[in-house]
Formats: sequence, structure tokens, C-alpha cells
Amino acid sequence: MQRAQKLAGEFSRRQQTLSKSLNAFIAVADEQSLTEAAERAARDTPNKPLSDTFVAVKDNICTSDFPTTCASRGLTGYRSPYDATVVSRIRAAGGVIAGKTNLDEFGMGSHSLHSAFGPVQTESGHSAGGSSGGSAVAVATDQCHVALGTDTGGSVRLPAAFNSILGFKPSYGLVSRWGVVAYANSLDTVGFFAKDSAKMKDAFSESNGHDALDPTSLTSATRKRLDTVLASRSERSKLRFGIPEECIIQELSGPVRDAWKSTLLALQKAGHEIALVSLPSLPHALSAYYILAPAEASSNLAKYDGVRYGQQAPDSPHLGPLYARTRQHGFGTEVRRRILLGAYSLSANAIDNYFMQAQRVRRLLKQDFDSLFRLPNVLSNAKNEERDSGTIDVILMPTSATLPPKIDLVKEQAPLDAFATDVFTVPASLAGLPALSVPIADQIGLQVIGQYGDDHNVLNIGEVVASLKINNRHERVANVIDVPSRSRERRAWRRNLCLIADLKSDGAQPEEGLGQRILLHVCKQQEVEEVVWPRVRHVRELCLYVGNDGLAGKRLERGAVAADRHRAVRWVDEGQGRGRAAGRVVGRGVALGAAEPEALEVEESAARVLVIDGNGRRVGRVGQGVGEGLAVGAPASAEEGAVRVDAAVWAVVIWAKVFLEDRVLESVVGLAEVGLCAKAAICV
Amino acid sequence: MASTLFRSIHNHPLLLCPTALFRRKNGVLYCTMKGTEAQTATQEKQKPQIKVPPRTQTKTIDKISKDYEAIIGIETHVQLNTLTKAFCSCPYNYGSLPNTSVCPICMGLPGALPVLNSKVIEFAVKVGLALNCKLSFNSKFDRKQYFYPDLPKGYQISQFDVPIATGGYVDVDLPVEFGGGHRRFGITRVHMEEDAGKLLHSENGSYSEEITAALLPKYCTTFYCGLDYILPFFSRMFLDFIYLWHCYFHVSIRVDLNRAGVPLLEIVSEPDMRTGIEAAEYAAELQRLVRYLGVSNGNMQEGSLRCDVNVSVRPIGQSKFGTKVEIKNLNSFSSVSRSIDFEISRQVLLHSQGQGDQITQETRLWEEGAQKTVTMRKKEGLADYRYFPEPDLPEVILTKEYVDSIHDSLPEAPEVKRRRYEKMGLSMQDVLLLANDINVAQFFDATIAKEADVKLAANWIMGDIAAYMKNEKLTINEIKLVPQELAELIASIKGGTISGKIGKEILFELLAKGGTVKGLIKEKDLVQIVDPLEIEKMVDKVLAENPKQLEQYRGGKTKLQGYFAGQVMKVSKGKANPGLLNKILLEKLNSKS
Repeated sequence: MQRAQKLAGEFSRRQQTLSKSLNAFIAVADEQSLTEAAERAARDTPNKPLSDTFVAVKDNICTSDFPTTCASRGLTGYRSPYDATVVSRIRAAGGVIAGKTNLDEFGMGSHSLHSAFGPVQTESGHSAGGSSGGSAVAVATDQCHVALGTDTGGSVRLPAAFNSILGFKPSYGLVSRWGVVAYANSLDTVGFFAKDSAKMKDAFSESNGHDALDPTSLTSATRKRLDTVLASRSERSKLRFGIPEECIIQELSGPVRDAWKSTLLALQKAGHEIALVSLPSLPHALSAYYILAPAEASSNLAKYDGVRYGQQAPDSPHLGPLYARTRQHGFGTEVRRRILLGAYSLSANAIDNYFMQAQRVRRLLKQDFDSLFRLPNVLSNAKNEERDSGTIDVILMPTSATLPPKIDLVKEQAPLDAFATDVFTVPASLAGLPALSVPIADQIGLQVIGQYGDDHNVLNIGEVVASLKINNRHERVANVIDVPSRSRERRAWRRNLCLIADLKSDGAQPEEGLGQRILLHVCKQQEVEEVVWPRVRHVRELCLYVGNDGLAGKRLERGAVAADRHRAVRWVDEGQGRGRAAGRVVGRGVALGAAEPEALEVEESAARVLVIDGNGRRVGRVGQGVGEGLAVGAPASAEEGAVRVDAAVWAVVIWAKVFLEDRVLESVVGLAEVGLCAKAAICV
Repeated sequence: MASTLFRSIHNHPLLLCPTALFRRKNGVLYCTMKGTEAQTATQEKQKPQIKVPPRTQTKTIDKISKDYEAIIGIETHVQLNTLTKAFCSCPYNYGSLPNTSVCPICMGLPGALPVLNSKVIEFAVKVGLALNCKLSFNSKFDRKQYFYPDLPKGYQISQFDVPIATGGYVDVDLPVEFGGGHRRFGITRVHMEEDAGKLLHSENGSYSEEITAALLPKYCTTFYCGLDYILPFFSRMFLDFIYLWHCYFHVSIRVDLNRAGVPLLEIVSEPDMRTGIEAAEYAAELQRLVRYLGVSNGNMQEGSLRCDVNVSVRPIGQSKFGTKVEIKNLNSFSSVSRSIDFEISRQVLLHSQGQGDQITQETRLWEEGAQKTVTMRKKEGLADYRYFPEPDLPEVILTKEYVDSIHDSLPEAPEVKRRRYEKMGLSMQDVLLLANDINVAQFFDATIAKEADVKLAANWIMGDIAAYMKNEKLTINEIKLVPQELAELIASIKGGTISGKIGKEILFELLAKGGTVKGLIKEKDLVQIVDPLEIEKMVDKVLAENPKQLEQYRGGKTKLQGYFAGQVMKVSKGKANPGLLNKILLEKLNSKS
């Protein structure tokens, strides 16, 4: 009891001192009521795991004793009649709610600047990360022990990395979402911040559990199955860490790359294994996320119309009808932007090209992840025997590609540049996997991503990673991520690496040896015919790389490989002959070769075609609609074409990366219709 | 119901237009109605009652309408009578005070999540099976998004591209009065969705402030939704006249969310109907069906069964559909049939005057008082509801075992019942009346299960019992008579234990107070007297007491036989067997002459 009172006093005073400079909290209890709450907790729930633990709650999680505003003007003063399940569970475990923390409005943002209550600041003047920036700063500056956040696309992990603390996003469905104000329901996860791993584990364990009020909460039956699967796993003292090759991108900043490399080296020294793995759909994850999340958000936020609760816009006929007025008044610019974006991508004309495609990418990404982990996914329907079992325990990759930018710089950023901050965090969100950001150096975090439901293991491995002694920052990690800096060399390196990894080593047993994916350097058609095709019947996916600088790619579904192979190869060859790289197929047909005649020939069989000018090194030549409304042909101005043929834009954003390895691609996202002409930066 | 329907139809001559009395679908030729002559005859009879449209006009339309056929499809919303709402645990009772049955979920408060009531699936499967539909073993919920103050979440949870049931049909027998006949109407789809709240329109607070304030749940900070409404982001369809009216007169609207979240089934028919009576019968059959299944009370006045009708007219022989018009505000079967017939005549008239292009795709409102449809709103194109899969709810997966178990527990369908009754030898009129109400049908079934005579049982139920129920405003479940006793009564009369007259008396006793036939007979000593000697004694007594009349009789005033019979019956307290009594009386009267 005395300890609780003392802590309450300390925290309360600290919150008061820092409130102006950091703005981490939207609502705090005054010293007296916090002390009373702490006493009550100590009396009613003594000797519980979270006794004497002060927990700050992100302000988009409902609490009955504080207002719940979501940092939105429209909900200013709104008080929920009930506690969120996670809050009740924390209280039941002895925790004391220390206040409500600041965030990006409704969780939409990456730097905690879009708040109706002013931006979250840090002592260093760098971005606090977002959207749970207030929670992260509260923990980092000792204003509470643990903080709850929500993670939709990285909103817990990014601020954790930027503030050098632990940030954990559990598997989707473990912690109840009842009372968590929805941003994107299929992605929203309650997450935790702490400095101390033990506290983090306690907070998570107490919050984890089935909740009948949340239909997406993992059922007791599945939890049992999960426990069986976890229990049957053989204990291994030496771990195998997967390094996704798609994360090795040029935009990786020096300090982050060095920290990552050194950590891998240290792990290797400690006897753990490092494996280069591939998540081919990972580069598309960001685009998919920024279609799916705003789409769901546009729907979830429709309820804030000021009719039943919340703020209504002042009554003035000059400002337009009530709904428009209220929502214009209540929502900030970022929220409005995402509502428009989402509403557009769900509209009848666009849904097939945006929302549906993004869902497909999401499924692919889940499959990619599942194929890597040693542990099977309890949610996937595939029986264990059918599954190509992976070899790694967890994935280790940076939380952010860069160090936190200065707040002043962020304010000048274009909206889409801010989107790109989430490039490494959205994959785990889309796949619903547990991910822990571990502070590895100042303002740098590494993510430990595990198989679905392997949350405790992820937390344990996080401790292993955090306890590493990293000395030799410049030593090279045995050939694994020793990436040449020049693009041409890097391509060759990757090619070799894959050939070695997948093809050459198993050359003697062509039927079984190829694994899931092969990446080839193809020079001659004959070679393709004789060497590759006989082996690829069971290959899920195939990428062909054509010699010299031009690249041609092809990726087909399992069954489609054999059927289209002749044509595919022919296109490849011709594409190469012209010194161009091009072509990309999705669905039924094949599209390769940049020149018009070829491209047009493809029309009939191709559901969707995109032609890319390999020499020009950017997307272009998007012209007349073909097939299901997508583009082929070569009008004079590439940019113009892209804007005009907006149905093709999705394909541009999603697929362009395949052919433009190593380059930053700029393309125009076709949202001109809703007044959102945006630049998409796809980092490769 | 049936009687209302008939009455209404009598009032309206256009139903009897002999257009489209036949229909072919999937190679089946359905029975036609009666010939034109017979109909004209009926029509003649009805003429004095014609009000709308005027007589002269009617004649012309009748003539013209022979060249046109109407295509009618119906969307029906059936409110399911689950104990709690579709996605929360609030109960729903029609008529409760505004906003007394609401919770964070159905009010769309931040952070609330829907949890599916599994009864909704069960009921939907029942209806799907009963409508002979193909069930989707993997279906899902979608969000249908639009802004409206009665829609708390800003979207309605519904089903879009994968409805739970598709491609069924329903069999209907048309009333005998209108030529009878059997029809089969296709069902396009059945899907589950949630209901919205209700807007309470009041002019300057006829809902007093105190009441509303007292009823506001504690979490409602604002309930008033301004004067000038809503131009939602993507659609202009909401500018319907109600809003304009409210904007114009500065009237406040309040929202009652009791109904929000109540489960609905939307049943969409194929455009298979051709006349108002067919459409009304289709709707009536759906009502019967949901009542048989016990999934809804099917009450149109309370809005538990709501029909939106689409009507288009085209010249006979043309394969392209005409422009379709939707009719709303239909709260009885008679308004369904009358509004359709009005709409058909309106459209036919426009076509025949070469103004077919004036028929626009619109929603029209049926005005019960004026007996006509008026424009409610013109559609300016398809609304984009931005459907997408509801991310909060898991997919709906049905297993074969589950569907089979529901299939096995289904009650006998109205159609099957009617065919069974028909086979028993009952007339179509009887069949339709008996099968109309599941409770009556069950009563009848229980009666004949006790081996009562089928025809007699039907007559009793539809005659005296029905009359009693009507007078006393009772349902068949509320009367004291039980089927077993009705069977006993019929057997007693048939076996001669009691007379028909006594039988009637006993019946009313049973209806009002209950008890058993045997007990009543015993208690009141009502067994028929069939002993000739006993009757003879009574006859003698009567003759002896009425010497004057006897003399008159013998003097030739033979009409007095009735008087004597009555007197004897009185003496026997009505128990004498009438045949025997007359026989003996006649013998006695004539023997001494």
C-alpha cells in the first residue's frame, strides 16, 4: 500500500512536469485521484502480477473513468460507458490506469503529430514514432511502467524503436479488441510498451485470453490446439534466424544496417544460425496495407456523425449539410485523407483493382511467412504433411529503415513519404504475426517476428537479442548480408546466391530439389527448356531473370507454368534481344516484352498487363486498356498515360518493383478522382 | 388475413383483367385462370363498387390492358423473432418505449463489436430450405455503407455477393374467388441483414422533451439531429422528400434505436408475378411460411413483414422488360395487390397513350387514403454502397450435418399441407382456409388424428368454431375446446348419441368453458332418446295436454304437426331423436283420425 502511494505520487508529479514539454498524455489523473486509484487497486487486488504497476492507456482504448477521444476533435469529451476488455483485465491483475496517452488521430499516422491535442514531442526533438507515440514516450520518460498501444501497421513497434524501448504486437486475436476503437478491424491489435521485459510479459499474459465479446478473439478450442502444437515442439538451444532478402534495400540507412549486421554477427558468434530467406510478396505489403487499412477505416469511421454522441459542428446553414459539416469539423486532415482513400478504393469501379488485389497480396504474404517457419500455423487449413516445412524459428529485421527524423522534417514530408515509414512493420500486421521491437542501439530497434501464436517464444528470443554484446560493428557477417553497394553487382550477387541456394545444390535431384522458389539467370531458351522446366512443375513460383542489364520477370501460379512456358520463354528472349526489360503477368496470361506488337499480342490471354520500359527505368508506357481494364501500349508520355489509365495504377504500384530491382520507383497513384494525387515511393 | 384480402380485391376491378393468365417457365405450363367470360361476369357484379379509377376510364384500360403484361417482383424483409438482436443481447419487443432496448453495440458506440446470434443462421437456413433454395455452405457478412440518421454504425451488416440461400421457389394456390389455380414463383436469393432504427418525426415536439430526455440512455450525449440534413459523400439518393420536408419546415427528428440490429431476412423473388393478386398471394404465402416455421410473426402492420414491389409493364410479345417502378409503404396484402393494380393501370395507360417514356425508374409511395401511388424519389442512377466483407465477423460456414438436422426438424410446409388436405377430398376453399393459419391447421390435424370425419371436422372448425373465435376475438389456441373433444363430439353425433342440435349446444359450452363431451352429456343428461316407447309416452302426454289443437289438426289443419313436434321436443328437453319423434307423432296423429 505504501509503495503504491509513493509510486502514484512520483508518477503523478512526473506527469505534471513533463506534460507541457512532451505532451504524451491527453488525460491524467491528479495526484490525489491517482493515489486513491492505486490504494484501491492495492486493497482490492493485492499480490497480483501487475500489482503496483502503473499502466498508461492509449486514448483509443475505452476506459470508463477517463474520456476516450482518439485524439479527435469529434470525440472531445466523449466518455465511454464501459471499460475495454484489456483494461478490465489489467485492472483485475492489479494494474493502475495512470492516464490516457496521446496518439495520431484514430491511430492514423507514423509520427504522432496528427492529434487534436497537439503533437507528441521527444526530448531529442526527433519524431516519437506513431501512432502510439504518447504511450512510447510515457514509458521512455518513466511516467508509467507499462503502456498499452494499438498496432495496426506498426503503431507500437515504430515508436518503441524510436524511443529505444520494448514494443510488442501480439498475434492478432490473442488480446481482445472489445473497447478498442477500430481503425482497421482486420489489422488492429492491442500492443504493449515497457522497458523491462518481465513487466512486458506479465502485462501480455494477463491480457491474453478469449473474450466472448470479440468475435475475432481466438477461440478456446484453437488456443488449446495451439498449446498442443507449442508443447510438441522440440526444445532447441540454438536458434535459426531468418533474414528476408527483400529487406536488404538501398534505403536502409547506415546506422541501421550496421546495427543489424552487428547483431547478426553476435548471434552467429553465440552459436545461432543465420539464414537468408525470401518473402517475395513483402515488397507489395506496404501498398496492400495502404489500400486495406484506409478501406476499413472509411467504414469504421462512418459512425462518427454527431447524431448519437460526439461533437456536432456548429449549426450554420452556410457550412453545408449536417453530416458533412460535422465530419469536416471533427476529423483532422490525415483522417480525412484516409477516409477518402478508403472510400475510393471500395467504390464499385475501383474495388477489384485495389481492395481485392490487396487482399490477394495479403494472402500471398501469409503463405510466404508460413513457408518459412518451422512451426506450423494453427490457423491455416493445410494439414501439416502437405506443408513444406520451413526451417527458421523467427525472422529478425529492422523495425524502421531509418533513424527517427526530426519533427520539423516530418512536417514537411509529403503524406506518402510518411506512409513509407511503415515499410518494415506492415508485413507482420498483414500476416497477423507476433512481432517484438527490441532496442538494439540508440533509437534503433530490431523486430523479432515469430509464427502465429508463438508469442511467448518471441518475447523470450527478444531477451536473447537484447542481451547480446555487440562489439565489432565493422566485422562482416559471413557472406550472408554482405551486399555490394552498386546495383549491378548487387543483382549479380543475388542471382548467384539464389542459384547456389536453390538450384545448383540440388541439381542432382531435379524433382524434389527445387523447393518453393527458384530464381534463375537464363541465357538461352534451350537452357530453360532442358534445365528449368522439367523441374518447375511443382514450383510455386518462378522468376526468370534475363541476361545483361535488362530484366524480364515472370511469376506464375503452380499450374500455369507448364501451359505458358513456350510463350513465356519466347517473350523473354525477345525482350532481351531488344535490350529491354519488361513484362509481367498476373492471372491467366503472359506479358513480356516491351515493344508494342508483342505486348498487344498478349491482350487476349492476359488478364492484366503492364509494360515497363527497362531502359527508362521507371514505369511508363501505360496506354490503352486491355482485358479487364488494364493498360498496354506506349503513348508518348508515360506519366500522362499513367494518370489517365487509373485502373492500371494498382498494378503499377504493386508490381512495378519486380522489374525495377534496386531502384526507387516513382509512379502516380490514380487517386486524382478524389483529389488525392499522391506520389508512391516504393523502396527497393 | 384472407378475408381482408378478398374484400379488398372485390373493390378493385383491375385484378380481373385477363392479362397474363398463363405463364411458362422451365417448360412448365401453369394452370390458367377461368375464361374471360366468367371473369367479365364477375366484373359486372362488382361494378357498383368501383371507385378508383372512374368507371369509364376503367373500361378503356381493361380493353387496352389485354395488349400488355405486367412483370412484378417483390423484395420482402422478414423480421426474425429471435429472443435477442442479431449482434447483441438486447431483446426486441415491438412497441416498447423509444431507446429502452439498446446497448453499445446496436448504438454503434466506439469500440463495440458485433457478435453473431447463431439463431439468425438457424432461421435463415430454415427459410432457405423451406423455399427450396440452394444453400451457400460458405457465406459471409458484408457491410453496406450509407449515411442515414437511423443507421447507427454508418453501415448495415448485410450479405452481398454470397447470400446464404439462392435459387428457390415457392408454390402458391390462388384464392378460389379469383379463379383459383396453382402458381410457382421463383426465389432469387435470401440473405441475412440487420434492421435500422426508426425516425420519429414530430412537429415541434409532439414527443415531449421530458419523455425523450428520460429515455435517453446514459451514454447518449446528443440525440437530436438537426434540421438540415445530410448530403453524404458519395450519393444523392438521400435527398428524399422526407428530408426536404423536414428541412423546409424546420422540424426536428428523433431517432429510436430499439429496432436497430434486429435480424432480418431479405427474400427477393424472381420477376414471376403478373397480377396484383398473384403478388399478394406470394406475400401471403411467405407470411404463412415464416409463421409455419416459427421464425417470425409475419405481422405486416408492425413491420415484421415488409414488401417492396417492383412493377414494370410491356406489350405482350416483347421480351425486353419495361422501366421498373418500385412501390413502398405497403402494410397489408390488400395494399400490395391494389397498389400493383393501380400501378399497372397507370403504366398501361401511359403506354397506350404513347407516353411510355414518361415512366421513369423511381420509387413511388402507396397512399392508402387516396388509393394511388405517388412519386417519392427519382433514382439518379445506382447508389454505390461500397460493399466489402465485414472484417469483424468470421465467415458463416454451414456443415452438412447442421443443415440436415434443420432439414429433418422442418414442419410440414403450407404447400404440402394443402396438397394433403386436397387428397383427403376437401374442397379448395376449405383447403385454403384451413392451411392459412398454422394453428388452425394443427388443430384440424389433431382432430382428424383422433379419427374424426374429415369433412365434418373441417365444417365445424370453419363454421361454428371460426364464428365463435371471430365474435370473441380469440385465436384457436385460446379457446377451451381441445381437438380430442371435437373428434369426440363429431363421433357422438355421427353415432347418434346426441343430436346435431345438442351437439351445437355442447360445442359452445366446450368452447367457452372446456370440459369433455362425455362429461357434459352425462352432467346435463343429454343423451338422445331413441327408445320408441319413451317417445310414445311423451307424444301421448302432449296430445293429451292439447286437445284443442288436436281437434284442429284432425279438422284438417295439418300444419299443426310442427307445433306438436316442438312441444314433444320441449318435453324431451331436446333429447328426442327427431326422426323417431316425427314418425311416432305422425302415427299417433293420424291413427285416431
